[in-house]
This record gives sequence, C-alpha cells and structure tokens, in this order.
Amino acid sequence: MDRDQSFYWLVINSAANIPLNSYRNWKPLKNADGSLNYANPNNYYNDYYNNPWFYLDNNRLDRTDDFLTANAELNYKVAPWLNATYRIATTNQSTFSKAYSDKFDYSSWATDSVGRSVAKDYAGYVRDVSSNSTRISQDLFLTAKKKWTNFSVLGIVGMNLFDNSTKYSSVAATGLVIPGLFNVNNRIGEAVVDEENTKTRRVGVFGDVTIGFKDYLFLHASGRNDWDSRLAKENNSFFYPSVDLSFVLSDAIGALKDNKTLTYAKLTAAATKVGNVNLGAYNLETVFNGGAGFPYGDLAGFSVGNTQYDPKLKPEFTTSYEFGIELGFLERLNLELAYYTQKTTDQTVNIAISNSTGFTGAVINTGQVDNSGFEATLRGTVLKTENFRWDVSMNYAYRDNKVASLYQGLDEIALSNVDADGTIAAIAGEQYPALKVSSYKRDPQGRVIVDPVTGYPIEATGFTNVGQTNPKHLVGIQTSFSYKGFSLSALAEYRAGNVIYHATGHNLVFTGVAEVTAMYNRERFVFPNSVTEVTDTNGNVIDYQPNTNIAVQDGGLGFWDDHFDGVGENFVTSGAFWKLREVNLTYTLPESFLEKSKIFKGASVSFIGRNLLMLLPKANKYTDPELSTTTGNAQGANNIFNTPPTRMYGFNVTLNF
Amino acid sequence: MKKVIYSILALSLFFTWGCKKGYLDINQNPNQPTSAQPEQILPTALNNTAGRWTHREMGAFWMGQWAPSGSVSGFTAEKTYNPASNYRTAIWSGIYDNLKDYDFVEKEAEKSGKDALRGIAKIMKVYNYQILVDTYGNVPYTEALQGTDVIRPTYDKAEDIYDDFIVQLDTAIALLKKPESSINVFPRSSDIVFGGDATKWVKFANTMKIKVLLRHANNSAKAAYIQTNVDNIVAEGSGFITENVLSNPGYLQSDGKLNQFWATYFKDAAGTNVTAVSFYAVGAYFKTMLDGRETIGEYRGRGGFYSATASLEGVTLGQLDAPLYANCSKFNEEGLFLCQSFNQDSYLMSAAESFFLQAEAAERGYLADDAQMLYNKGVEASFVENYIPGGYTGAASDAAAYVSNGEEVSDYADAPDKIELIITQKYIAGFGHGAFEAWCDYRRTGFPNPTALDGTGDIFYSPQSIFGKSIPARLLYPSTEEQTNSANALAEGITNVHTQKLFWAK
Repeated sequence: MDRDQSFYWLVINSAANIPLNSYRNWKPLKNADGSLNYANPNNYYNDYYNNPWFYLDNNRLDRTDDFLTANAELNYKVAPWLNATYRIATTNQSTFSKAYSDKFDYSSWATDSVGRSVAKDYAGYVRDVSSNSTRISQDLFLTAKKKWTNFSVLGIVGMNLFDNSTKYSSVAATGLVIPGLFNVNNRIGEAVVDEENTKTRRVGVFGDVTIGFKDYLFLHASGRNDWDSRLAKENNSFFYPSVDLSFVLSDAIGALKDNKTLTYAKLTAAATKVGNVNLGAYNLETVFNGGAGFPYGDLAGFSVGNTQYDPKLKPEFTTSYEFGIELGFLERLNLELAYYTQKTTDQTVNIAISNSTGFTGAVINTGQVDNSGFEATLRGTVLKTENFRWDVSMNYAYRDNKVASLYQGLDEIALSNVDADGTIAAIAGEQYPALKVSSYKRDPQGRVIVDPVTGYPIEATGFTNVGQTNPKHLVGIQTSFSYKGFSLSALAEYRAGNVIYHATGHNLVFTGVAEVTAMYNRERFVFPNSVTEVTDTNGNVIDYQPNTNIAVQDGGLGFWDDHFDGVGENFVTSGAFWKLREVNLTYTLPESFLEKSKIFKGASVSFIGRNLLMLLPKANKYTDPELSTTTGNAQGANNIFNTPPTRMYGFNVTLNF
Repeated sequence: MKKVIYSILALSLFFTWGCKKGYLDINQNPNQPTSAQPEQILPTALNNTAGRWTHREMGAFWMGQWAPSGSVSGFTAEKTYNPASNYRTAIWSGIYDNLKDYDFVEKEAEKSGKDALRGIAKIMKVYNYQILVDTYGNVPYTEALQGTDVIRPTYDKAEDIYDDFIVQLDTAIALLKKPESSINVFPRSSDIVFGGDATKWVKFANTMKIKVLLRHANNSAKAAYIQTNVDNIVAEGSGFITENVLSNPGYLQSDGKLNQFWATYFKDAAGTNVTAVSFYAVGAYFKTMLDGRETIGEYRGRGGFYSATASLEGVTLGQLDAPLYANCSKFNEEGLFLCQSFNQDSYLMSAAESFFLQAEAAERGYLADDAQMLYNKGVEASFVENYIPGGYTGAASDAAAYVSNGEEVSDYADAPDKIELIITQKYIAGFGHGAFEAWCDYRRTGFPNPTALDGTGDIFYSPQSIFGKSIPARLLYPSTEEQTNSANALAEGITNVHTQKLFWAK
C-alpha cells in the first residue's frame, strides 16, 4: 500500500499551525463571499500532499455482509447408558463491497503551477467485489455413561466432517468517464478482473474417555485422527492424543475434609499433543502468475510465482506438559498455580528467502520453538456485608521461549521485513520473535562513530538483534464493588519484557513532526557521545577519539531525514505498558420496582469506558505498543497504516422480558 | 442391543462417506496455473528486461545525462554519491526474479528439445547477469535460482561468471543454429524481440560476446583470451547485430500496459502526466557537451534528446539552486526521442551501441575491420534514430557531414584519443536507454568524465557529494541479502562503494 493513501500520513504532512478542521468543506472552489476556498484541492496550500478531508471524502468503501447461520441437533437415546448425537452447523457469509473514488480534474492553474506535484488529476476508480463463503461442520458421536459405586465412566467416540468453500470475484475500473457514477461500465481503459475459489475439507475421528473414582480422582484420555485436504496424500493423516489427571485432595484425604482454613485443594497434571494444519488451500504447488501487463491483446504471458511452495508440507504439532495446583482458603481466597513446558514443531510459516534463489519467499515447515512458563491467579473477596461486596482478582504470567532449531539449519528466518530498517525474525537459540534493526556503528565502548568530515554518524553493516517482541511478563488486576443495585468494576493490565519497533517513527521524522527532530532547533550540533576513528598509515583503525567539535554538516533535513531516519534503532522502545482497559458502572433496577410494570423481568443500565488510561515508559513517545502491522506471527511493529489508539465510552441498557 | 448395533452402523456409514474416494482429493488449484509452457513465460521475461529502468536511471544520474529538477526533494543517495544497502534494491530483486523466468524457459525448453528457445533464454540470462555483475561484482550464479534446494546460494567470483558468459553464449549460438523442426519449434509471437528470427539472435549473441570481452580491455593478461574469442566470433560468420534490439509486446493504451518508460516518466493511460514527470531534467553535463559539439538547433540535441527552447537549463545532480521543472531542459516531453508514443519499442541494445562496440574492438586491434568506418556507422545509426522526429530524411547525410567536419569531438580522423571519441559518442547515442552502459564505460575507460571541470568553472559532479568527485564504482549488496543470506553476503566484505572497484574497472 502506498503511504500517500493513508489519512494519517496526510495529517502529519500538514504543518502544525494549519487549522485542519476549517478545511472540512473542500467542494466549492470559492466561498460564498467570492473569495477562494482554500480547502478545495485546487487552492489547498500544500504542494505535495492533499487536503486530508478531500482524501477522506473521496476514498470510500461501502460494504454489506449477510450472515446465515443454522444449527440442528438430533439426539437419540439408544440405551439408558448410550446416547447418539448428530449435529450440523452451517455458516454462510455473503459480502458485497464497492470501493470507489471520484474523478477530480485540477484546474489548469493548479496543474501548471510550478512545483505543485500534488496537482495530478484523479482518474477515478471503482472496484466491485462479491464474495461468498460457506462452512459446514457435521458431528456424529456416541456417548456412553455408566456409574458404579466408586467408579464412573464417560466415553465418547465419533466423527467430524468439516467443509469450507469460498468464492471471490471482483471487477474494477481505473478511470471513470462520468463523475460520480461508480459503475465499472463507466470506465476508460480495460477493466481489471479477478476471480478466486477455494475448497477445503477435513475429516476427524475421535475418542474420549473419562474415568472417575469416588468423585475426587479423574483420569481423562483422548485421541483424534484428522485427514486434511490441504496436505498431500502422504502427509494428510495425523494423530494426536492427550491425557490428564486431576485429584481433589480436599475430598480425598480425611484430615482435609473439614479443615476450616484450607477449604479446597486440587492437583492436576496433563500431557497434550495438538496437531494443526496452518495453510490455505492450494499451498503445495508453486503457481504461475499473469505477467505484468499481460495479456497484451492475444499475447499471453506468465511468470514463475515468487513464493515457493513445498509439496511435502506437514501438519504442525504442539506438545505440552502442565502441572497445576488450586487451593481455596476460608471460602474467600482462591489461589491457582500452574507450570507448563511446550514444544512446537513444524510450524508452517511463510519466510523471506534470498532473491538469488529466484523466489522472494517460501512456505515451509520450520524447526522447533520451546516455550515454558508459569501462571498464578489469586482471587479473593476483600469485604462482604449484606449490601456491599468487594472482590479482587490478580494474575501474573511469565512466558519464556526459545527457538531450538530452524529450517535447513538456518541461523534465522525473517518472518516479516517491516521496512528497510527493521525485521521481525526467528533466530536460532534466541527468544521468539526477535526484532532486528539497522543501527549506528559503535566503538567497543558503545560510542557512536561519526564521519570525520561530515560529522554524521556511520551506519553499521547488518542488522542488530535488540530483543523479543512478545511480552515476558503479564499482570492483570480486576476488581469489582457492588452496593445494592450498583456495581463498579475495573480491569487493568501490565505487560513488559519486550521491545517494539515504531516504523511510524520514520514517517514522523520525515515530516518533521517527531519531537526529537527539534532537539537541536534544527541547527548543526555535535552528535552526543560520539567518536572518530584514528587510523594508522595503512588505514587500519587503531583507536577512537572523542568527538567534541565536528558538528553535523546540516542539522535540518540533512541529518534528520538522511542520517537519523534510516537507522532502525532510533525507533525501538520498550513495549511495556499499564492500561486501564475497562471500567464498568452498572445499575440494576430492583425487582420490586419492576414487578409493577408486569412487562419487564429485569432491567439494568451500564456505563462503560474502554482503553481509558495508558501509561508508557518515557522513551515511548510514539504510540500504543499493542498496535501491530499484522495479525500473524510477526508481532512487534507498527506503521503509518495503524489507526491511532482510541478511547471508547458507551452505555448499555439491558431489558429482560 | 439391536439399537446399539444400528447406531454403530450409522456411525460407520458416516465414516465411510467421509472416507469415500476423492472426498479429500480437492486440492487442485482452480485459480492459477501450476504448470506452464516456456513460450508462455518468454514474453513476460523479455518485456520485464526491456522495460527495466531503475539501473538506467541510476546510470543517467551519475553520468550527468539526467538530474532531479528543483521541483522534487530526495534522491539523496545520488546527490551525495552515497548509495546505502537499501538503495535501488530492485536492481537485485527485479533481475533475479526475471532470471528465474529465463531459467524456467531454458530448463523446460531443454526438456522438450526446443533448442532455439533454450538459446534465447541463455542469451537473456547473460544479458541480465551482466547487469548484476556490473552493479555488484561477485553475485550468486552457479548456486542461484534453485529455490529452497539451495536456500543460501554462495557468491561466485565476478571474473568466473564473466568467463562463463562466453561459454553460455557459445552454447546459445550453437543451439540457435540448429534447424527448425517439429521438435525444435522456433518461438514466433512469443519472441517479442525478433519474432523467432534465429539468425538475429545469433548476431545479438555475438554482439553480447564482444561487449563482455571488451570489459576486460584494461587487463593485459586477458589480451590473448579476448583475441581468441573475437576470432571465434569472426569465424562463426553471422556477424554482429546491425539494427536496434527492441522489444514490444503490443503495448496498449491502458494502465499497466503502456510502454514502461512512457508510464514511469511521462503519462498514464488517460494521457495525464504522471507525478514523476516533474522530478527529472536533462543533465547540465550532457546538455553542455552536446550544445558544444553540435550546432545549436541542429543534429541530435535540441528537438531530439531535449526540448528545443534554448532558455531552458540543464541541471547538475545535487545542484543547490536547481531550477523548478518548468524552467528545466526536459527529456520527457511530447515528441522527443524518448517520448514518441505510448506503444514505442523498448530497448535491449541499440544498433549504435553495436557499432561502437565493434569500433572499439577494431581500434584496440582485436577486429580487423576499419575502426573509423564502424565509428561512422555508429554515429549514423544514432542520428537516424534520434533525429528530430517528423520524417526528416537528411539524417544520414547530416551524420556524414558531422563525422567529417574536422572537429576533434566528432571527426575520427582528427580525434586525439580514438577510444575517448568512440566511448563519448556511444554515451551520447545511448542517452537514457544506454545510461547504465555509459556508467560501465566510465568505470572501465574514464570516458566521458562528468566530474571534470568545465572551462567556465561550473562543476558537473554533485556539489552535495560527500565523496568529492568520486562517482560510485559499484553498489553495496542489498539489505535483504544481509537478512536472508547474511553469511555469504557479509563474507564478501563489501563496505565501500568508492574504493572497492569491480575486477574490470580502471
């Protein structure tokens, strides 16, 4: 996506003293009093970037989604202890959308103005898309239940069929004839058309058994085999079992049974394996794409696709072992502790590979990632009277992980090249995912080396790993008060132990709105804590000399745009934050009040505020560390296309009849 | 019990349905082809090669043919002579992407016995690899283009790759000289360069050979090698290409289907100027040189290469008070040589370049032909194609007059340094489409030198250069290589684009 198509980008390219809100009405060329309307693109003050309001009004997307969901379940009691169940669930989604922008012809005054590069006529655009997807899931299973004096058995055996199909077609025109008529027939040039269909299926057979002894010891085991259409025949069948045991001590051990202090105690242990196919349809064979510009009339042309697919792809598996303990005290306080280790193998990822392989990316099964961590949750009731109650719940989770091995013994895999100065990668032996950025060249003491002539810092070759992007520490605090019909609850969260790459920062620096660019009043300055190289007669570096007097050649665009903007480390900050995620005040009307109405059985009204407060480390002058360029694996970077974080207020009225 | 049996039966029936043959066998791609004929790939590959401009634009900037106008900021890497590892990485990525297509054509053509097609693919691989080597030096070659089979291709020595070019071109020539048959079907419509004319491809291959060989001209140890291979070209007998090597897929007046130069530097399908139009101006060095050599208003400069208005200025790369676009001398204006129509042909090589290559080989004694005659033909070819468009027929006679006017800068007989004359006229003839070759010639011969001072005290190298008069001698490997093939890329130890020259450089 072109950054010139980002609303945010246009906003930050407007000087700070421009009252943007007064540029809302851009349509008329002249105001009522006959003066020029400076909001009109012909008259807008900026030679390079358009009025953001014009952009907003002239780039629209209308979209309609229709959902149809249906479920049916048939139960049949075969015998007192045996039940047969058939379920079918289907979801159908139809989407129609139309993206359009109107044509806009600049006046010849604007187009002929020297240096006014923004004054380029908009040819108009319309793209009409219709798509449909249908998912059908069917289950048939038998449930057997039997109880003896001390033992109980619950057994399930069954099968699942899953069917997913999608259809997508679009037609687009890249130039319109009649303004305001957004129909592909109203076009100049050739229409751009596209069609895509997919179909995937999965068959699963499963068994599940739970054996209970005296209501305090439970052994549970399950197994499932899946067959998936997205994999080749040799690899499309895979089995994954699990087993777990739970033991309620407080019921089993006589001495604990009537303990007033320790009211509940449970131990759990589990070993689980889960298989998954993380792949779209038709991702086993490299395709040929239509060549750029082709077909030219009757001359067809194709090009070898840029992503190499592996026909031998396998499902990915996660095997985990977990131990847990749950304790209850005085009927008021509850503590849960859990520890786990987890091993994920053959993750299916799309990696960037060297262009010299003839491809830019490959979809592969990569090596192994090891995770481990523990979680603690403490829940309690602080105060409890007839009318008043105060509950608090706190949890803490520690997550650690390491890339144990990678595909073909690679040292690292680029999961996403965020931009020219930053990459999210999986690095063997390191935490995952890791952020790698371009950085300054430094001497052994960590001082930045500058060019002795220009005073500009020198950029190091290669990228530096600056840490992991997933938070290591997660804390959650929830509290709620209730008094008669009122209840007030709040949820706060803290996350830390990770770094974030603010690719947005490049844009802020380029446009000059970044605070840092005004640090030296755009004057020449000596790069702080810098050195120059001292060389011998052969040109070898033998020492470093503190730089006290070589100022950067240009303290304006020359430094900030050319020598600061291109260094990724300048845009890395801690990803830590405290957030007040939600506050909710609810009033529930008393039943006595409602009884009179005879219509309502219950009524409540709530006021909700979300994302109310965000505390960030001082260094993070950019944005919410949770913003991300992707929903995939490559977390930890934002860019100009992220909508800035929003605070939300709302209210809810609930009526029960 | 009966009911239990029935329900188990029902479950097994359901199971059988799920496992019925073909239920899961639905993974055939209905959207894109997963196999293709080499003839379907060739047009895309040729169109891509001929329409690639990023390396030519770079050459045009550094060689003073073009410069950014005062209407645009940026182009900092060019203005400071300081290309970093993220500079024009499309040269690397675009060419390897393109090479993969030729590689597919070559391998598929070999499987099906289509010798001519295979020969064409080989020639075009050399054509593209040479741009890569001339830009980056050592690059992945023998281990390249194999996908995940060789996920970290090692870098081959540039000189070894150059030697293999000759081997590949010889093989290509042998393949193209095989007779057409029901198996060795010549590509016709899919060959958007020569329409399947094998002889022209052989001539082009011979010209490519001499271009490759002349890069070694500074290396006296290679003299015998050059001579042997030039003798082989002569012995082969087909000769050199004498026409422009042009590509045209049948450009259409529709976005994405226009001639690539036209669409990048001039107009969109609706006939509106593209934004980038105002970014470019004619280089002050080129304009000054041509205005000095060719009588104003005549010959190739005004009206051919750039607009005829005499008051418009040429711009020096990085010029601090560069004039706004409107006041610049332009090359992207209606009717000029580079902007004739949306469906104009794209260049792979000009006839003039072929003649100048031959002239240089003759001047250096490798070819027995008359160097002056070849030089004159080169100038004539340039006049004919670059002359003020509009059906003027006097180009050949004007060229004849020009090369015999007794001036050092045009008349072979009077030129003190024949190589300088040949290379400089090649530089002029290749305005724009030959700008990358001009950068190579400068690095190899030092001619023409856009960093030299003009008599008036003007400078033609960038005043913003942080490396003085040193035009970059190469590019750094792209940052993507540091990320995906780091051990091999870093092992090359390329950190200085000014001092770490290519093996054939002067």
